[in-house]
Amino acid sequence: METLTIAIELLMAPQNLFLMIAAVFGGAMVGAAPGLTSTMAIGLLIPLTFGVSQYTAFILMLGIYCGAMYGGSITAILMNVPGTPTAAITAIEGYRMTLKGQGGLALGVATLSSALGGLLSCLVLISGSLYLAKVAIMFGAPEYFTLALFAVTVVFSLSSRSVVKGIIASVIGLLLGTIGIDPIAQYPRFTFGVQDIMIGIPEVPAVIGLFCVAEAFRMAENTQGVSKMQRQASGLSIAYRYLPRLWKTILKSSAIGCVVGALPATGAMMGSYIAYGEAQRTSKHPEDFGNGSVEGVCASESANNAVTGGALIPLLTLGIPGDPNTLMMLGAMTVHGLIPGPTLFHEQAILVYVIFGTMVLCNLLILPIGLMLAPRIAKVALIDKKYLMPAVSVLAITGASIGYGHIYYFWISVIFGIVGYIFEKGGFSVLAMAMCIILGPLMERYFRSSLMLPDAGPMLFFSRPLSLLFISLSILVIIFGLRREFKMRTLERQLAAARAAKESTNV
Amino acid sequence: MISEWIVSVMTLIMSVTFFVTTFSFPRLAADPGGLSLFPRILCIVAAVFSLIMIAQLLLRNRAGKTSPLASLKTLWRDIWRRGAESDSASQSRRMMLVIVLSILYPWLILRAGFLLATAVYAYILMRLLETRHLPGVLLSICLAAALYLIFVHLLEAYVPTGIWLDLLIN
Repeated sequence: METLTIAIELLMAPQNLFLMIAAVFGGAMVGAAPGLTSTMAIGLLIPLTFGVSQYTAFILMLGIYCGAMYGGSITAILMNVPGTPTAAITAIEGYRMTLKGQGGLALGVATLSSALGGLLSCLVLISGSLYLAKVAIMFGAPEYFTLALFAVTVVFSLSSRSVVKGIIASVIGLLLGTIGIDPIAQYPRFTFGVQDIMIGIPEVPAVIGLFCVAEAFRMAENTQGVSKMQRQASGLSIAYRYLPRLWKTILKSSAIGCVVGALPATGAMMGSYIAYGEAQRTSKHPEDFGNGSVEGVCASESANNAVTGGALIPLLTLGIPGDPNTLMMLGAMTVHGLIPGPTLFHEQAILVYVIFGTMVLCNLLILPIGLMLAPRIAKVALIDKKYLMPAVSVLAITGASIGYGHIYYFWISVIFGIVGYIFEKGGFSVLAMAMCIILGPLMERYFRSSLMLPDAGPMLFFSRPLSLLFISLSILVIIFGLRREFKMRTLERQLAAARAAKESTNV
Repeated sequence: MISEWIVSVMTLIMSVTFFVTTFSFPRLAADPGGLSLFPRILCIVAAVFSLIMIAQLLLRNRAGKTSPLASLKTLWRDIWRRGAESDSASQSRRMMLVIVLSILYPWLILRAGFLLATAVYAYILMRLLETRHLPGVLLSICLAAALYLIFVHLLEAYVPTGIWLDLLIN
C-alpha cells in the first residue's frame, strides 16, 4: 500500500504531470507527422532521459507511445496521410468520412475509441502482468531460454514476408550479440584484435541506428512534403452519441489489440488490420466498409491503442518486448540499470505502479488533447522533410551515444543505420535483427546456465513441460509463417498471371 | 535485388569467419556449453540459410529477372551520371552522399569538435535536400547550438571539442 501511495504522489507531482501532458501532446504531433514514428521518437528521447529519474523517463516514453498511437489517425482522417503505418487502416474509412463532410465525427470516434481501447488495455496490463509475474517466478534457465527462442521464432516468422529472410536477420542479430568480452569466461570473442570492440555491440546505439538513422536515410530519398489540403473537421463533440452503437466493436477490437500486442513482433498494424477485418465480418452494415464506416474507424483505432497495454505485459514480466516501441523501452531500461522480469515487481514496485498509472492517465489525456487540438495537430504533417531529416539524422547519430563519451558509439549508430537501410531495401526484418541483438546475450546466458544444471544434456529442453510447450509453440509458429508465405506467393503468382493474360488480350 | 545479394553474401562470409574463429576459444570444465557452442550453432544456421537465399536469388536470376550485376551497374551509373537525369538517378546519388557524409560525421566531430562538425554536417544535408542557402545556414547553426546546450547543460555530457583548439594552443 505504501508503494502505491508513493507511486501516486510521483504521478501527481506537478513536474511529472506537466511532462506527461507534454509527452502525450508531443507524441500526437510525432504520430501525425508522416515519416516520424513513435519508435523513432522514443529512440531519440532515450538520451534525454539519462539525466532524469527512471520514473520521469518512463512517464515521458509512455506519454509519447500512447500519444503517437493516436496521433497517426488525425492526418489519416483529415488528409488521407497516415502519420504512422498503424493509421493506414483508419485512413481507409476516416478519409472517406471526411470527404462526405463527417471529418469531425470520424476524428471524434477515433479519439473516443483510442482512449477507451487504451484504457481497456490498461486493465489487461495490470491484471495480466501481475498474474504473469507470479507465474514467471517458476521459470528456470531452460524455460527462459525456450521462451526467448519462441519470441525469436515469432519475430522471424511474422515480421518479414519471407521466413528465410527473417531467419537470416535474426541469426545475424544473435551473432552480433556474442561479440565482445564473454561475461562468464572474461575472454574476448570476435574482436579480431580491435580494442574498441571489446565492449561488444552496445544495444541502445545499435537499435537507434537500425530504426532512427536508417529512417533518416530513407527520408533523404523522398523529401516531398505533404501538399494535400486539410479538410474541415466540425462536429467532433457529437461522437459520444455513437458510443452505445459502438461499444461491442470497442470491446472486441481492444481484446484483439491486447492479444496481438502481447505477441512479440506483431505490433499495432496487425492489431488494427485484424480488428478491422473482424468488425467488417460481424457488422450489420458490411456494405459501409470502404465507403466511410464509423465502425471501421472505431475498430482500427481501439485496436491500435489497445496494443500499447498488451505490448507492455511481456516486457515487464518476462523482459521480452512486444513491439518496436517496447523494444526501445527495454533499451532504456538497461540504460537505467533496470532488469525486467518478475524481480522488477518486487525490487521496483514503485516503478511498476508508476508505469500502470502513467498508462491510465496518458490514455485519459488523449480525450481532451484529441477533442480540442486535433485539427491543429494535423498541421504538423505540412512540415517539409528537408528540414526534419538533418535534425533527425544528427540527433539519432549523436543523441544515443553522447552519454557514453566515446566516439565508438557514434560509429555504431552510423553503421547500424546503413545496415538497417540495406536490410529494409532487401526485405529483411529490421525488427527481428534489433530484437535479437537485445535478446541474444540473454538467450546465450540462459542456454549456458541450462547446460550447467546437474544431469543436463541436449534433451533437457524437451523433458521440462514448460520448455517443451515453448518449443512446440515455436514449431507451430514456423509452420504458420511458412504456410502464410506460400499462400502469399501463390496469390502473387495468380495475380501476375491474370495481369499478363489481360495485357495479351488487350494487345 | 542488390541489397538481397549484399546481405546474403555478407551473412555467409560472417558465419564462416565467426565459425573458424570459435576454434581459438578456450574451454572451461565448469561451463559445458562454453564460449563456442552457442555461436557455432548460430553460424551453421546462418550459413545454411544464406546459401538457401543465394540459391533462391540465382534461380530468380535465371528466370529472367534483373541480375545483381545489372542492378549494380545501374546504381553505379546513377551515382556518377550528371546532366539530364531521372528521379531515381538523383535519389541514388543523394542517398550515397548522405551515407558517405554520415560516415564522415563522427570523424569530423573528433577533428573539428561537436559544434562545428554538427553545423557543417546539417548544412550540407540541408543543401543536398535543396534547402536555400540562408535558411540552411541559420537552421544548421541553431540545430548545432541547441543540441550543444542540451547535451552540455541538461545532460552534463562530455562533448568533443576537437583537436583544432589544441593545435591553436600549442
